[in-house]
Amino acid sequence: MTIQRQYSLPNCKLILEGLTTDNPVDGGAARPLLSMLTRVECRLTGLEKPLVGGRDFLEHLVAGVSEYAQSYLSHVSHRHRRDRLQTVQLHRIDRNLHRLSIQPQALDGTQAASFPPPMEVDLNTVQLFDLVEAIDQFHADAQTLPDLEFNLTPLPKRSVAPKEPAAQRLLPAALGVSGLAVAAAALFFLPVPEVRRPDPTTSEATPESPIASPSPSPDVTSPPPAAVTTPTAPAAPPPSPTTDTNSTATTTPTDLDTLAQTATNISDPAELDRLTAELQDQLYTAWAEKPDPTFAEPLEYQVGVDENGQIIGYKYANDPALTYVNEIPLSDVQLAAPASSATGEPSIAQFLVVFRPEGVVEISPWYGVPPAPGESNTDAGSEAAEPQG
Amino acid sequence: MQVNSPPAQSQPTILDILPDPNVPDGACPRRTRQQLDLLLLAIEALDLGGSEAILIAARDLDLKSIIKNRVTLWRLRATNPLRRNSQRRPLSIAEAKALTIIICHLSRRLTVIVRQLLLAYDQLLEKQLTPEHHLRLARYLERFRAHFRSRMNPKRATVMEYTSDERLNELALNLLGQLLFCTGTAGVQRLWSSLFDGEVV
Repeated sequence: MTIQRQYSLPNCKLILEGLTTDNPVDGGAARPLLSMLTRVECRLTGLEKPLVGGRDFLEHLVAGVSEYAQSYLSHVSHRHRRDRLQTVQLHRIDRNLHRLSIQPQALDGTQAASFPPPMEVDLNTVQLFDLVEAIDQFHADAQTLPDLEFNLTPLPKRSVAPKEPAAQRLLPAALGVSGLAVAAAALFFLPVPEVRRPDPTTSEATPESPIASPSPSPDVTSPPPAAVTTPTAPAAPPPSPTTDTNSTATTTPTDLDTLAQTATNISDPAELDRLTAELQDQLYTAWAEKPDPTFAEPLEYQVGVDENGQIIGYKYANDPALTYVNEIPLSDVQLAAPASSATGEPSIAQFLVVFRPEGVVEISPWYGVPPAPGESNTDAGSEAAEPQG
Repeated sequence: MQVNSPPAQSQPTILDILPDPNVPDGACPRRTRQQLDLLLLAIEALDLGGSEAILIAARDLDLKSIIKNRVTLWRLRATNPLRRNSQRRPLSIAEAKALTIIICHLSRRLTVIVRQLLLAYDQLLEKQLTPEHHLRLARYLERFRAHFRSRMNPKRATVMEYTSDERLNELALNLLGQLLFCTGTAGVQRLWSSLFDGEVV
C-alpha cells in the first residue's frame, strides 16, 4: 500500500511517499506505518522546482539541516559532524540569510563523473525554521520511518572548532616570528660587541674628563678619567659633583682591581650561578628598603664578591651609576675583606650589576660565562694578569 | 505526625523530557546561564507582562518546586555572569531545564509576533532600511536595549562589546531568531542541546 505523508508549513512542504509492510486489514489503525520510503519531495519558497530524491537525500537533508539549526542556536559550528553527509549543506551568508546548497548527486543518488555546480537557495531565518520544523514534525511522527536516527546531542568540548579563523589565530604568532626574523637580520649586520675589560694603559692615555675632581692618589700625577679607574687608583670612584665623597667604598682598604690581580678568579659556571643568585637576593632585599628610584637610565656597576658571596668591592661602570649611587643598596654595603680559601689565596668573582629604573637588578658575570671551566680559568687569569706585566 | 527528615526532593516529571548533559560538577556552564537569561530578557522585551508570564508559566507547567516565587526566579537568572548583581551560586541542571521549558512554552505563545518581526526585519534588510522603520520591531529593540542596559554590568568585557545601539540590536535580533526555533515541535530539545554545545565532555 502506498502512503503519502505531508508536512506543510508556510514556506516549506515536505512530502514523503512510501510503502507500508503492515497488513492494512488486521492493523486497523487509522494511520499505517510508513516503513519504506520511495520518494521524498521538498518544496521551498524561492525554489521553482521541488527537490526530489530518495532515502539518501532525506538522510542528508535531515542531517545537514538539523546540525545547522543547532549551530544557529548555539553559535558553535557543527560542521565537522557532517563529514560523511556533505551533500546537503547550509551556510550563514548574512545576519538573516542562510544558503542551502545541495549537490545534485544527492538527489539522483548516482555518482556523477562530472561535478555540476550545487543547487543553491537562500533562505531567510523564518524559511529556514519552516524547513527545520517540517523535518522535526516528520521525526515526531512515530508512524513515519521510525528507524531514521535523530541525532540531537550537544557537541563535545574537544570537537568545537575555534571561533576565530585559523588565519586570525596564527596572526600573533606569525607577527612574532617575522619580527624575530627582522630583528635577527638587522642584528646580523651589527658587529659583535667586544667584552669590556679593564685596560689601564688605554685609560691613562685618555684625556681627563673635566667634571672629574682630582684623585687623591699621591703617586698618580694625571687623575684617571671618571669612567675607568686604574688598578693603582683607590677603589672608590672619584667623587662626582653631585654626590658626597664619603661613600662606603672610599673607605675600603682593598681595591677591586688589585684584588682581582692577587686573587683567583672564580670561573666555575656552577659556582658563578650560585653567587649570582646570592648577590641578586642580597641586592633585592636591600633595595626594597630604599626609596623609589629617581634615575632614568640603568646604573651599571662592576661588583666583586668573594666565594662566600660577600661583596668585597665595586666600581661604577657608567656615569649615572656614580651620580645615583646613594639610591641603590651598594652604597650601604659594608665591604668585607675577601675570605681566604683553603689554598690561602682569596678567590673572587666579578659581576656586572645593572640597576634598572623599573626596579630590576640584572647580574651577569663580568668576564662572561666561561665556555669550559678549565680553559677559562687560565684564560681569565692571563687576561687579568696581562695588564700587570 | 512527626517528620524526621524532609521529603526527598522529587523533580517535576516534565523535566524528564530533557536528557542530562555530561557536564563537569553537574552545574551549568557560563554560556548556558548567560543564554537562558538573555532569552528571558528577549521575551520580556516582546511581551510587556513577560516577567509575570514567566511566573505563571512556572505554575502552569508544574515547576513551582523549582521556581517558587519572584525571588527564586531572580536568583536563577542572576547566575548570568553578565548581570550587575550576578550571583556566585551555581545553576543546577534541573533549574536550567525548568527555565528552558518555560522559555519554549512562552515563545510558542509568542510565535505570531516573533514570525512577524523576523519577516519585517527581512523586508527591511532587502530595502536596506534600519529596524527603526518598523514600529513594532523598533519598539522591541528599544525595550530590549533598555532591559539589557539596566540589568547588565557595564564593567564586564562582554557587556562592553554591546555599548552601541547597533550591537545590542544585533543581539536582540539574534535572540529573536533563537526564540523562533524554540517555538518548534522539537524546540525544547533543540534549545536544550544547543545550550551545551562545546561544553560537554
